[in-house]
Amino acid sequence: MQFHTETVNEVLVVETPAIDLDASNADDFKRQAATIVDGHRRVVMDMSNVGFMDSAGLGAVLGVFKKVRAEGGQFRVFGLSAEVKALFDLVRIQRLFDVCEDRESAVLASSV
Amino acid sequence: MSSDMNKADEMHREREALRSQAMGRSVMLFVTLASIGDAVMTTDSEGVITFVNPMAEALTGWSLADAVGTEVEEVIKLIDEATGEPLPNPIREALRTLSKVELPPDSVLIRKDGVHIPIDDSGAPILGGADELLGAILVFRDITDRKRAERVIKFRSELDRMAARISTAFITSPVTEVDARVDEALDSTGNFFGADRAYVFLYDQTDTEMTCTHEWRSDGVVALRGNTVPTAIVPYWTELISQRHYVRVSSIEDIPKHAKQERALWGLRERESFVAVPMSQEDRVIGFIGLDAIHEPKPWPEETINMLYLLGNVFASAMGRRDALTKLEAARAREVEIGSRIQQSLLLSTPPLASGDFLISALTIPSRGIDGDFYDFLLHPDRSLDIIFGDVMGKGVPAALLSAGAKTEFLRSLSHLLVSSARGRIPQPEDIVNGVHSVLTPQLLSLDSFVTLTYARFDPQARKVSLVDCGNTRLIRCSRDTGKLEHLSGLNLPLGFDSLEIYSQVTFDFSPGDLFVLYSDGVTEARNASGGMFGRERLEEVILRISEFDPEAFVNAVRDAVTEFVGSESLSDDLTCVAIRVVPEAPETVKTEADVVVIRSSLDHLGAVRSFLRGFCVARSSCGLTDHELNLVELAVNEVASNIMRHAYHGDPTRTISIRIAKDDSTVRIRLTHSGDPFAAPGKVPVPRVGGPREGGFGLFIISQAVDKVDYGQDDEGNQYIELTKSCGLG
Repeated sequence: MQFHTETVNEVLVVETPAIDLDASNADDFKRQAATIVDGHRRVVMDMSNVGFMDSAGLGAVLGVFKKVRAEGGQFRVFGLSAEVKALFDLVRIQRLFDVCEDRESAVLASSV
Repeated sequence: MSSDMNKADEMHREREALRSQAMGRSVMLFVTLASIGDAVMTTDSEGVITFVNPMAEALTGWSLADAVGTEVEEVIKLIDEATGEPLPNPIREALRTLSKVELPPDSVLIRKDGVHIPIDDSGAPILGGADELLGAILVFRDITDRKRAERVIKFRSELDRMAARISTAFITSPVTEVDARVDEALDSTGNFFGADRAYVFLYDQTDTEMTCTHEWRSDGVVALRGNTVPTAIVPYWTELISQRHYVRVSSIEDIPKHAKQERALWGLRERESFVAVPMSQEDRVIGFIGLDAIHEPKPWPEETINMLYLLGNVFASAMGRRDALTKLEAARAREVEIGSRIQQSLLLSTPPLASGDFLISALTIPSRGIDGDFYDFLLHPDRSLDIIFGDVMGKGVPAALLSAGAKTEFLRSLSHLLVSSARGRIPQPEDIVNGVHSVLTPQLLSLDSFVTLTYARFDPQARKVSLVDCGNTRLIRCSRDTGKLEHLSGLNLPLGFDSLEIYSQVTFDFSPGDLFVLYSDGVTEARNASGGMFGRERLEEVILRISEFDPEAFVNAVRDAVTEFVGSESLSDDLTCVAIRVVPEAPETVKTEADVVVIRSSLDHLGAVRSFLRGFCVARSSCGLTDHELNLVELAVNEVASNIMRHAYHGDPTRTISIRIAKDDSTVRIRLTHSGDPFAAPGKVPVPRVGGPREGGFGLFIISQAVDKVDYGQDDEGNQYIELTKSCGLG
């Protein structure tokens, strides 16, 4: 599992690996992502490589979000597949964090 | 006259000389008695004191003036040290017996002020010229110092005996009893030194924490055992111990000013004094032994510290031996685990998920050791199915590795033949086996090992099975039409017997609905407590009992029958069984389309669950579902499968889940069947609070939202199922 990161205007953009994020790899995902975002106050997660996500995967993303929020930071995502979007809509994730259209809008919203 | 006078003078002079001589002797005697180190007392013949020297004054507490004229019993009061009983007065005894009297060794004189003084004494009568009894003399001395020296010697020898006893106990005990021996040793040591608590603290690997692992304590003393505290709370003492020094504290003055934390802790006054001595194993201090005095301070002399050092060495070395043994056992268990993992991951393949022609179910119960059982499935483009089912002689990691090698060799042989054969033509089983044989048999011969194997190809179009039987006649066909069983076998020797062997295949017909069973000798040779074998007949009974011809139900029935027969879940050989059912021709009247897959209960197979569902639906115009609906159904099926794996099977990857998907005009139904613990059908699923304290809890909510209906139930076989229904009204 390999994450790519880039910093744009002090915003950390985390590109998630090309996986189906399910119960088989959610713990691993959460552990690695939590390490990557550690100490960052503006985090944008690029999920365009994630084809499928289940409740365990959702738990992992929420875990990362909560870590960022606990440190007073902002967390946004973009690039949802139709499957991931279906899941996010089901649990109304937008009540917790912004789901952005694309990378530019996510970075811009985080830079304000 | 003058001579008389002279005579008288002479006599006078002589008398004077004698008197002077006697006076001189008397003075000499007086001076001598007054100055010698022993106490001396004299009495007259009635036992009334006539003289005491200064040492006697000191020991009795009676001055010369007070003592003289007093009955000897008033001044000399003796008791036995051990019993406290009065002893006969030695002067009175000497006067009575007219002979010398020695007192018993543990005599104690009670001084005038009540202080007890151990003494050594002897009394003797004083006799005059004609054996006239003039009085008696008592000579005695303070032997406090000697007694103390004797006590030290006695203490040392008892200490030595205890040390020897403890060391012997450790040497003669098995390492599994180290803990009990440590507890006993703390008990005797704590008692011996008059401590209120004796204990062992061990450091963790990084020396950041210490845990009280062993303890003896007297009644009413607070327990420490099991307590873990950071070493950082007593940095100064920890540093001393780490440098192999002991720590001995009886008052705040024993703690230097800079050791602020220790001084603060001492202020809490949990104990009046303690001593702690490091325990070392080779180059590492692993912990310490300590003694506490709770009620009153104890000085903890050198002997105590030396004894604790000795105990520390004994404890540490015994624990070291035990840990080494534990590591060795862990290494052995690890080897078994590695072998088992090789078997699970390399040797036993998952049956192909979706073959429209065959239903396949495979079962493996790993044994305590590792067998060389292996199997593999290959699905060819022409829909024929190859099954390689084999067993390498031997057990353990070597057998497992050899099996992995053999299995790889089949794939190599197949691909080699595929490359050299005409395009699209699939090599015959006998050619594949001969290719493996040419490479593997020389190696097996040099290793003195062999492989029994069945290579079977099921051709659904020709309805024929081609079999290369390498000494492994463990293939049974059960005919759907006749209900009869037939053992299919071929002609050849196991691989590795003879390099000149030529392998050839035999062909049998089959009909739709027939069931084929391959089994390892772990099935038929499973033994019960009385030594009986499960045998082929019992296996045949199980096959005949399964009326439905469902391969999964069949392998589960085999598992249950064997474990019931053996009377234990723990088998001495691997139990491997594969069942293949030729899919019966569907009756034309039923418009339902269905497919079944059996997957292993491992989270790694969630992807396979999703592919199966997608594959089925995509091949049927998404079953009339919109993309969004299909996404939701996929999510729901994934959640149910994940719940079964985690909650019904508790993560046991050897269990299986059967997934059946069926579609008719109006609905898609997905039934997931398992034989694990039922998990209760939830009532109304509350909307989980997003961002609540738990990240879980979404699964059931997702399932309930994603499909139209969720049914929990039990099928005729007693298996649990969860069935999801989604209407596809668009069709």
